[in-house]
Amino acid sequence: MTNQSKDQVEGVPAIESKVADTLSAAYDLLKGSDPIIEDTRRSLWRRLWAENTTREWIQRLEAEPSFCSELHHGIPDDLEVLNAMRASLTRARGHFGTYFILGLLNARIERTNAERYKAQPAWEDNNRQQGFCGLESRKYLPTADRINYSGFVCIGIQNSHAEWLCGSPDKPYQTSAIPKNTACRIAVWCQAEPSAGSFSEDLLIETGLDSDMVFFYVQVDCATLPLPYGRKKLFFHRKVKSESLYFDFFTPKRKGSHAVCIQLFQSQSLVKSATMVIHVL
Amino acid sequence: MQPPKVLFIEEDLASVRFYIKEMQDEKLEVVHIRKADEVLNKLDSAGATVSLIILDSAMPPGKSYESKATESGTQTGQFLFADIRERLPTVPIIILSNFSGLEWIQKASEKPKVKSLNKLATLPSDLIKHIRMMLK
Repeated sequence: MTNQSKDQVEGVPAIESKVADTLSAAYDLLKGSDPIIEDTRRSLWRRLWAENTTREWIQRLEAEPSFCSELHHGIPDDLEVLNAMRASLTRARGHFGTYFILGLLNARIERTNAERYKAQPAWEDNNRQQGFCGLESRKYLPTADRINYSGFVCIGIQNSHAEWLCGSPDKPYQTSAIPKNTACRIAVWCQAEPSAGSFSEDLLIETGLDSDMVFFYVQVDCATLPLPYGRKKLFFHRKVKSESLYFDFFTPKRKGSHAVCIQLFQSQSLVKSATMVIHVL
Repeated sequence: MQPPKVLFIEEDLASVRFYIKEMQDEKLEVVHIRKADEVLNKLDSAGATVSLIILDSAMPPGKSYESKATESGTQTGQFLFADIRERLPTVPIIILSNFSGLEWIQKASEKPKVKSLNKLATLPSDLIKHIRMMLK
């Protein structure tokens, strides 16, 4: 039994996966109720689930970008499965949604690692302080390519005169629409508390180094709007509101809804993906 | 004697084929429906012969549920569940989903003859065990 489907999500070509085909063939061969067979089958199933589910979600995002906003409900807490999903995503580069899913996975891995790090028993903490560290604990030690931060990433839309179209207290993003055929810009910034009227999503990095100055590289993406390419840098004190980064774009001539994905990086790691749906009228 | 008939409502093909194969190996008759719009027609025409229904939460709403708050299709199953229960109040239902933490699923699984399972944790052989238990 092969795993390929020509029409896994209707109207969107399936993403081929030789890995999934191999895993499927292996799963089919494992028969019997021996505990070792059962364990192996279960392990294969988890990897198959990771492979199939990431492909399904990428296809679904291409068919319906607003699916972004609900995807976090399906992200598991299991570190092994999360890493298997990340590995699967590296084979699906070039698809819209790949980066978004990767951001969700990284955020969940970050949170899970942080919880494990905090749960380490006291004697291990003593050993760490003395420089002795078991291999297992070393996985959860702070990494130099991340800087800790606890706050919110905030997003709004302005016109070319820096007037808010959505994302201010007077024009909250949930109920405001943007005029069509208009020069606009996406404003992205970070601050310690959610911003009134703006799209605000929590941004939590706990497995990095502590520092008063924090940095993120920000880029934007959308399957249906032409947005500028490239990352811009935010560098700010963690207790204050950062400057805003701006990404210029033109709204289309027709009305519609568009899922804009904002991605934040530290060094080369994607630490956060946030998706805001904007409505053009 | 007719084998039990299972209605499998699921859009995804990649994982469902393992479940279907296992059920067929266990001599269960499986009817696979991928679209929400086809479910009610099937129930109206052949609902009386269905022994058990397996339902996913996430699937495109189709025309039948496009006006409902399906949250981009992730909760289409909620409305399907309500319509299925209205037509078949006593048929056992298994909600098999990647979004099993959703509130509507947790509330539904508290009702009689309803069970919620997460796809990641449910191998095809596990599903068979649950089906057999619910058909008793």
